[in-house]
Amino acid sequence: MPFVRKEIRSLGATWNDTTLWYATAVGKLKERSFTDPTSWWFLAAIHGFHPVVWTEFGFMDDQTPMPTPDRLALWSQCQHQTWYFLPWHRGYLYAFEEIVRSVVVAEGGPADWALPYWNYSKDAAARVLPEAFAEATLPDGSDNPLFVPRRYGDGTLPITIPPFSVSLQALNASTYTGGDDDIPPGFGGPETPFHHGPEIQTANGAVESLPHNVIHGDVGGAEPGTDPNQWFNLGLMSMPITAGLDPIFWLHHANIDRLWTIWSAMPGHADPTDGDWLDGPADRGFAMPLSDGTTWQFTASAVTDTRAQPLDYCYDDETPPVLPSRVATRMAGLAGRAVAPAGAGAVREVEMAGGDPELIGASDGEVRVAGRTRAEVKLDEAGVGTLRTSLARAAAAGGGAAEEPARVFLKVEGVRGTADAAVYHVFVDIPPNADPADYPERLAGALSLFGVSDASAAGGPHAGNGFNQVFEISGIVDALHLSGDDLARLDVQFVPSNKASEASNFAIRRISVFKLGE
Amino acid sequence: MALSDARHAPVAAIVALCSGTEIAWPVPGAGAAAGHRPGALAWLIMLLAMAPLLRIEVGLLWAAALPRRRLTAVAAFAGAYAAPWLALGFAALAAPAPAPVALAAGGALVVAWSCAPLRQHCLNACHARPSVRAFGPAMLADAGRWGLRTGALCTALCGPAMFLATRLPYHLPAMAAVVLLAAAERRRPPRPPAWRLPLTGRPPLPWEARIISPPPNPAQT
Repeated sequence: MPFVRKEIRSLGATWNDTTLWYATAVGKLKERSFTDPTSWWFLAAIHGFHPVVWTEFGFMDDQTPMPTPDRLALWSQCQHQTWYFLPWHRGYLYAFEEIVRSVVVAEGGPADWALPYWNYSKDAAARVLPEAFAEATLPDGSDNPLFVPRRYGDGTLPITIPPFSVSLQALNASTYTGGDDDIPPGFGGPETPFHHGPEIQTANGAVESLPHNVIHGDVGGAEPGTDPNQWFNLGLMSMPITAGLDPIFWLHHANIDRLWTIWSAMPGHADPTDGDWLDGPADRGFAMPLSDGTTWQFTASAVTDTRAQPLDYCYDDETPPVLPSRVATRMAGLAGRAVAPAGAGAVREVEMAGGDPELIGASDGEVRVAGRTRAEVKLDEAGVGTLRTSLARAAAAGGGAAEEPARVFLKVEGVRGTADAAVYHVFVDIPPNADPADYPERLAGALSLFGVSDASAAGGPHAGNGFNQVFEISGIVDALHLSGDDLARLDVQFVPSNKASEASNFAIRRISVFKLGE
Repeated sequence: MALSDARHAPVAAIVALCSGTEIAWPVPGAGAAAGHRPGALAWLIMLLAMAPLLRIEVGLLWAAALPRRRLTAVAAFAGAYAAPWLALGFAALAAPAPAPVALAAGGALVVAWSCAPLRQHCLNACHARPSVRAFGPAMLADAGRWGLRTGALCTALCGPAMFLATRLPYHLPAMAAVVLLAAAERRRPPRPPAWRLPLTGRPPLPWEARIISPPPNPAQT
């Protein structure tokens, strides 16, 4: 019988047994030394660490003993903008849960304790931070180890995630691995080795973008009234080097892990079968400490089945949500219908048909975003011509086309800055002074800057080149085409998703538009 | 064709570069580096051997260009990239063969440069991706600027060693060794500048690679 991870609010009262035991165990782990691989500090540092930041935030000082070099090698392993994002975090979560369970049992708790998850996508009430993490004290009046002062959200309490941030549109991604030039980004991210330097694609996969990255920024935020471009004003969840120090981090990632389980079981979806993924990364293995003092070395293939050993867990709800089919919705739109035409499910997706992405437009160089910002993207007549033909053919077929027309993607390249907590919504072709809320159909997606500081460090693995973010805008372009727009240019607007993001700023190397398929 | 007059070396180099004919190295002084016969062809071979190192940049440029302008973009990049190398090649061909003492001193300087923090700065800069516009002459200018920048960095990084290699016996193997060294260095991720031998030292820990300054002390501001 596998361990069952349950949705935290389904467990009952705020201080249900599972949550209370979690708090107790976190408190015990915090009593352990930095040098102990099973301590709270060591486990958090496996995700990310920086001595200056941890010192400023009060987690260590000059006298704090550091682990030996062989143990230090386990720190800062976190995998982002890579196809290892999901398997690495699954192994990380497993090791953490195994250590926490050992403490729970040692303290007299249940032997079947399992890490709860936070399903913020469930309904409006679920978007509120679970209450046990917001209370300063436990029921007995002692300090609550789950409470983190450096958790700001958008500056208002209780911390509540905006509706779009919990979108599950990532589950509609057809393939796991990102395509050429990040087009499409794939559910799990681009193919990379462990150390994916500046020469390798650095785009977020679909589920990493949304909801993962966005939730990090929405929960961590920046201290109200301070400069969100300065690291010392940010919440723990806002930066990879501190995120693991917030106890809600683990429930967030359990939900992301659950989404992977759901995605893999959906019809037509499959994890990679490429040996480079299954047996990788070849350049450096993944390693996690366990409660018995050993180190667990693992590859992606060891974590694809959560019910198999050693993982041995499942989720209480692995039911795929009912989502409108991306292709069917698109074909219906092109056919001028509100609902999907009959047989739309048989339409062959461009993603499945293959083909190389083709640049059809770009901004005139760099774009600097500071608050609400507009940027014009010029489209190339030759590329747009074939796109128009493709769209017209599909529209003329009245939804009866056998193959999806060309897809269009907006690629935000080389995002650089220091405002890790910022979340911007990206709109296409809305009037300059319009209220974006009036144009939900023109929302391309959410751009979270989680991890941007690391990606912008000149001496770091990204060599200061930042990361890429890709949004599919096929539906928006379809609508523009049907409205008679000449598609000579696109007006892209970056709109801060909350008040905390308004003062943030960042740079973009180029905004590009790619076409996939004919 | 064999030209042994140093004054004609640039002309000889151009002829050789165009014809692919190897020329004799001009040796103005008797006994100095006698028997070494590197030439323009060797330099050209070296330049072509370095081309695979540009696979990353060319791939990025290819993807970043409109399909009908891809070849133009790559040509602009390659032409600009080659310029600094050709300039150094002409200088190498024109320069007189050094005395052994000067050769030894040059070798010491090359070793020192190979270990210098400023050189690590250049290596890190090789990883930077500039913005390349897609339309009009701006695309050519950006691709050319990227090529020139990359060529200048490569010349600064490997040019001294390559220059020295041309003055050594068995200069072709020596030049090949420099190319291999450059390829190995190019594959390494950026790291904080410091004095270190090439290809040595452990990779920086992630927190060492990102320099973060403590926040300003309010009492001092």
